[in-house]
Amino acid sequence: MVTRFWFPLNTISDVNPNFGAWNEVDGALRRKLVNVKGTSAITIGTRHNWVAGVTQLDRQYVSDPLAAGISFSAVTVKLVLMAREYNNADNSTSRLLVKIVNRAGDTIQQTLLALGQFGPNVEYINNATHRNKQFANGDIVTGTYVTAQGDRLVVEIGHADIAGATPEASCKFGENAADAGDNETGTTDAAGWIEFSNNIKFEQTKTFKVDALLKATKTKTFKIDSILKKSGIAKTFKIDANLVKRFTKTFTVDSILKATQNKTFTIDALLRLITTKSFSIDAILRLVSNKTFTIDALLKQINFKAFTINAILTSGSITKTKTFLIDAILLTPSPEKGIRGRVRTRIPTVLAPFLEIPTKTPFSQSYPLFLEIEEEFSIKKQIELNIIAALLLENKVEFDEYYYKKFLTLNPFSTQAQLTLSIQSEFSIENKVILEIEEKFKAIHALVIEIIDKPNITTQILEERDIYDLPEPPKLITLGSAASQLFFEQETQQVIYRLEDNHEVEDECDFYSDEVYDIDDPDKPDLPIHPNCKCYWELVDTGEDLGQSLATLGAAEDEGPGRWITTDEGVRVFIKEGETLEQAFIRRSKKTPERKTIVNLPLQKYKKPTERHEAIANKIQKKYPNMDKEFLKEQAVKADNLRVEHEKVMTNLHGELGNQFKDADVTGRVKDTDNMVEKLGRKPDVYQDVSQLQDVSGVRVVSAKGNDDVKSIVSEIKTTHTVISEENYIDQPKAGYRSYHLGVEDKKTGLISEVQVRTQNQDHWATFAHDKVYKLSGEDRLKFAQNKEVINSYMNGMSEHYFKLDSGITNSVKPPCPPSIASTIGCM
Amino acid sequence: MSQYDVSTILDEIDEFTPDVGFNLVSIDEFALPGEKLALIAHFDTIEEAKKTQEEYPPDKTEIYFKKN
Repeated sequence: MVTRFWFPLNTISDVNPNFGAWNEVDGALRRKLVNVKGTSAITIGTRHNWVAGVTQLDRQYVSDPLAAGISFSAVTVKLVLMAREYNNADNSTSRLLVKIVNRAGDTIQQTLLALGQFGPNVEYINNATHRNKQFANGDIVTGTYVTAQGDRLVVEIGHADIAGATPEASCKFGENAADAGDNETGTTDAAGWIEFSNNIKFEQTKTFKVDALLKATKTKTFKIDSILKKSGIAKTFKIDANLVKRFTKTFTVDSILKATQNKTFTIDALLRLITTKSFSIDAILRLVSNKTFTIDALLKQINFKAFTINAILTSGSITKTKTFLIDAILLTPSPEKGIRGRVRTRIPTVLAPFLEIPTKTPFSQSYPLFLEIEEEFSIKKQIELNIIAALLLENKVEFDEYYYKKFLTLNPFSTQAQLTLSIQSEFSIENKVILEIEEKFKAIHALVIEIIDKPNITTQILEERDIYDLPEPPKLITLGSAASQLFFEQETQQVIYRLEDNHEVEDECDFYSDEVYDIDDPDKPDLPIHPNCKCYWELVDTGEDLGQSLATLGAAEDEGPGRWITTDEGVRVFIKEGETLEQAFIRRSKKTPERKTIVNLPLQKYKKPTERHEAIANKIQKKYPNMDKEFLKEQAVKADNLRVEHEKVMTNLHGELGNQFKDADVTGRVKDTDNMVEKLGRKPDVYQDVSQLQDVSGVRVVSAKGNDDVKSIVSEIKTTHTVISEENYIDQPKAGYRSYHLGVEDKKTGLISEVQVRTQNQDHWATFAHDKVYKLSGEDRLKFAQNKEVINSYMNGMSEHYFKLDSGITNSVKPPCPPSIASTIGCM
Repeated sequence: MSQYDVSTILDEIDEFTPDVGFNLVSIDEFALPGEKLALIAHFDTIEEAKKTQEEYPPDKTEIYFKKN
């Protein structure tokens, strides 16, 4: 079996072996010798001239690494290439050298054909057309050799002259044509080639792109170890060359293999799920007790599907960010460790979903919980707990759930952390507190929760309230009950859900705002919906005079115009004029001195999907039919929760940056729920959960000055905030867009906001090039579509023009504004 | 460094333009072109779409439709 190679026009060689003993090598090029024909056009190479009587190297071609064990013994070589000379008196002809070098190209393993003349000793054709030239025509290699893995073939093509004083010659290189005939007569453009009579195989791979590998395999599972054994080469490879949207860098396979006994893992899931930075598998494996795991399986169990592996590496100097979700680590438990203390209990993982804490009396405030953490990782890290806490309103509301996030920092070798859970009791009701650890948390076998003095938490419910030694609370009733009673007395059939004027933060209350319910509607939400709830029921006007009716309930005292009422429960409440009973209760609650402010609780009411979420799921599923509707619904709820949290973070950041850069224009926004969920459909390979989105909240800082000021602002933000990522689109614009993007982490919540810093000019450009185009009418869009090149050129020109102005280059010339822009969005 | 290409925007608009009826679409001014739009709702008439559009902040939405 013969093996043929071709001569690409421009493909660069991976290594640079020294040229052979050519007399002249000026203008010589080094290229890659390929065994698969490419698409480079047949093109005339360098026109060389040399001193008469010597040899001139034209090109050196170097192959990829060869497999081991290829024998070069009595092998014949043919090489045909189109060539010509330029002067009648020259009589230029071919020279050839073939050798084998080592992988690095710095050692000659064997010379197969020493530099010399092979094939017919006939001069090149001398006219305007190149002609086939047999540089070798079955010449037998003079050196014998058996390859070591990684050796490379080197072919050096050049010229000499038989006669004449000013020899000149050139060859045609390239691949995109039929192969040249094995003759010296063909003049039609053809691809040159070299052919060996033996079967030459290449090393399986050296470095490779994981992306390409994944496309090539159906199972998307492979063993790194076996690949490396086949290749037997450097044990580093790039994981991400083609994964454009990710930032993953490189890691060392060698360390994986050293660290794990199993040597098998699935990398595909890792690539799909990880959105951050770089990591070292080796470091991960050191954290895993049994040193054998499947990354894919690991990540499938992580509900949030987003974490910063870097945090795991926080053993020294590598980490910038320190946030990750607890399950990433705790899925690797060894249950024997981590159980200690006088009294302890485990969360019965699947069997008992609730951890119940004894009833708290009104105005009680906090519960200390000790989390005992399986700690085999000698690193400092922060864990994030996701907990559902429920206030069980005795006999009134079954559950009133709140969703908590709590960050705890564990020091190296620490084995427990204290979580103080504060409970708000502003509603003056007896309640029982129930903690539900979220599903992923429950699955963490090694986690132990110890509650001081509560050896059997499952039996201590209502009976032991007196141990807290709190004063007897005033007797109050739940608001909804009293209101319903009142409404009933008024024979009112319907109520309207209202928000107080000072209700500012969007939350679940907004979903019900102005909704009308029948009094006995079972779907009517119970008030209060959450602590600090600024909402109330308003009677639907039935034509009756409510004020008059209330007047019958009691006499006004010293709280201004209004009435005292006594409810069926015996509670006397003063109702001001124009005030509803609920409002009166709320007002009273706010005056209560013992009222506690929630510190750790709650970030957001845990919401159930509503019709609105269903509508969002429906429309997105319609657009992306492969998406699961239930999943989308769940994501819509989650997006709403995230929005509320991000709103606070963004507002804070906006205020901070506004104060910090008073000369700049600072704006901010939080991404719409629709947009967040839409992104999952649009980029399913990148985002599998809304919590992975990096641009939910954004703040833009527009500098009135130039690029230097932008960079100065960026530097300052880096010193005052935790910046975990940055993109410099000013020096490296993206599609003409210039701005500096920073990922800023909120210290309290760990949420990341995108900060965009740019100049006024850059902001102006973005408004024109982006925002205004989105608002074009249909006709104008057609105009744009028909003039794309002109418009693109103008936008790029303006981007460059503004960049120059912002860099202090005042003589930059503004590009002319094309009519298609002047008549639509107007000129910049 | 990459070059501006208005096709990215026009393609995204096309993606959100229904063959029949009217799409009310939100525009995220902080996002990059190609990722700015999200469908708020589809309507059979322009009047319905405009009425709903009034509920949103000005300049943050657009109604896309094909001219018949």
